[in-house]
Amino acid sequence: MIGRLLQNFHYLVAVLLFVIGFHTMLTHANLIKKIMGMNIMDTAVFLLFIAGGYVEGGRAPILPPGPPVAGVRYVNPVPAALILTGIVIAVSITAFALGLIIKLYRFYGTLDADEIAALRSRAA
Amino acid sequence: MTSSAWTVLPVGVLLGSGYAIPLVYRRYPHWLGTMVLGAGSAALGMAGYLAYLVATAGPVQYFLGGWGPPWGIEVLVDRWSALGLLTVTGVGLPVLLYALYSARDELETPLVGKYFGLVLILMAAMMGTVMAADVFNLFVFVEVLSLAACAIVAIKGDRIATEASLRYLILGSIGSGTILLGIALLYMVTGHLNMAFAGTQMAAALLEHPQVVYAGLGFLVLGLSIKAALFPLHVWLPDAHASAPTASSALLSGLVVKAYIFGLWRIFAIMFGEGLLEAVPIRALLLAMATLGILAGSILAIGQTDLKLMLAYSTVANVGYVFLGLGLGSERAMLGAALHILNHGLMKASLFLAAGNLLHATETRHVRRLGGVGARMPWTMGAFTVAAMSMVGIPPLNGFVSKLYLALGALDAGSPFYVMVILVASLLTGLYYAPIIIAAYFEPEGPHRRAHEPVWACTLPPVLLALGCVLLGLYPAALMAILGG
Repeated sequence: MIGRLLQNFHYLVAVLLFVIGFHTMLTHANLIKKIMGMNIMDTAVFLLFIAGGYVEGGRAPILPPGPPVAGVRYVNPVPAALILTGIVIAVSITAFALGLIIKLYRFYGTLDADEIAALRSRAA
Repeated sequence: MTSSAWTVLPVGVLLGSGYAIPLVYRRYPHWLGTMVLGAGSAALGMAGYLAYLVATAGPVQYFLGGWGPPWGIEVLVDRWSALGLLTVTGVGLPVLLYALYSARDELETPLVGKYFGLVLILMAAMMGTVMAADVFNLFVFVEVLSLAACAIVAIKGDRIATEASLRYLILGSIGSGTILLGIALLYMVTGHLNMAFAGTQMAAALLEHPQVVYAGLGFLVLGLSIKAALFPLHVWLPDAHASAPTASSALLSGLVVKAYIFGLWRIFAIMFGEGLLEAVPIRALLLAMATLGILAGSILAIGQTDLKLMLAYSTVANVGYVFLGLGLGSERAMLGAALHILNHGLMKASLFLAAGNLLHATETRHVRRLGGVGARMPWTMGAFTVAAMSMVGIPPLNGFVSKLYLALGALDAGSPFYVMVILVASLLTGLYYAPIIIAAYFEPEGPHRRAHEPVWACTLPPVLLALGCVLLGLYPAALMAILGG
């Protein structure tokens, strides 16, 4: 049991990171911290995906010219390509969210989600 | 199975014009209407041609760059996607016409060009989501869609819209994270991203690693349900839909939430298939959440005094109907769900556009202060009345047809309980639309003696959409030809 866990420790780390990110996102009132939590959560998923494509002792998946060499193992290139797209998406969401947060800060003068809710209910 | 590049062309046209229009608008602002309506009509024409191909010759597929699956990216337009494409473009075009006037009114002038860019990208992303045959491609289009959807709320720029958009974005990003996690888990056990190829490995994967398949499907369902606002994951929806500009509300409520359900349906149908879905305990969960959503959405809508918020809660209930069909899983229930996607798109877009006209003319969002507007604004209120009656499910309007199929599907699936749910919810729906209609026609004119119809371009779209409700209610056979029912 312990041996299998150690062998697959990257999955364990991914799950831990996911939970940390999710927890940060839900429990912190500070909007910037929420965005940080979101990024940690995304990173956890990227790690899990990339780790799934890793082959023990595998090389970078670039085929040299000439006949294929026997006995050489390559890592799976598909997860890496996908996660590159995933990172771009996560960056766009982060940039957009930070832009909105700047705008909210100009309206309310605070980054605290609870304070914003209180200010809003007082105004209504 | 035919192969045609027409599948990707409408997405390309809308994406291309989405980026070009803001640039051209800066120099030639008076070309805006021609370009926007041109792109919208071209997409509608291509979607119509694709639907014709699908109805006559079966599903249409296309391999991007000529690389076939499992390596290349496959696009597949089947009966459901053909309906989805028609819904997106058919409801989208009248909304675009409406937006040409309302956007100038509701947004700052330099933002108008960008707004149309975002709306066209949003429509392109919906079309891409509906016909992706590859889970990662689906994810990319879902993300483009989510970002564009948040942007057309935030563009209004006031406090409520900014806050609602941020909440939408943050909850949506939890959804994105879980969708990608689900894709990762299913990819690890099946070795394929292409849905059909993953489907061939799914039975073996379910035997060998049942927990991983359960977790992967669970995460996918969770993420897509957050984005589709399935109760109780709907908390972001009311504010976002109610505070957005009128045209955005119509698009978000009428179309966007349903694009995610199409994605989920594809995953169910192609990756799992009927047999394997029985082995995974997901349908019972969807049914429970859908039932709660239908009832809670209707009850919450009754309690609203803000017209746009009321319409937004009604969307929560209607998303429940579509998930109900998906959860029941019998053939007629699925047909009802597919029809309800189109029907609700027409009804809700018409209601939101009519509500926009009412708010503009009466300058109040309060549902109790619309007394006597029926005589002042006959076209707008007429469209509102027809769409609201269709929402309740009064025959011969289109809402009745889809609810009938859902109810028949519930009987087929051997659960008459859900027929009761549909009946009770229809009564509740009547409870919140009827007072508005009665007040508008039978109460004396209150403070709105000077309220009048807006320009034709704002009156025509809700009337057209309401006309669609009547026509599809009288002649549902035209759609059955596409859906094969």
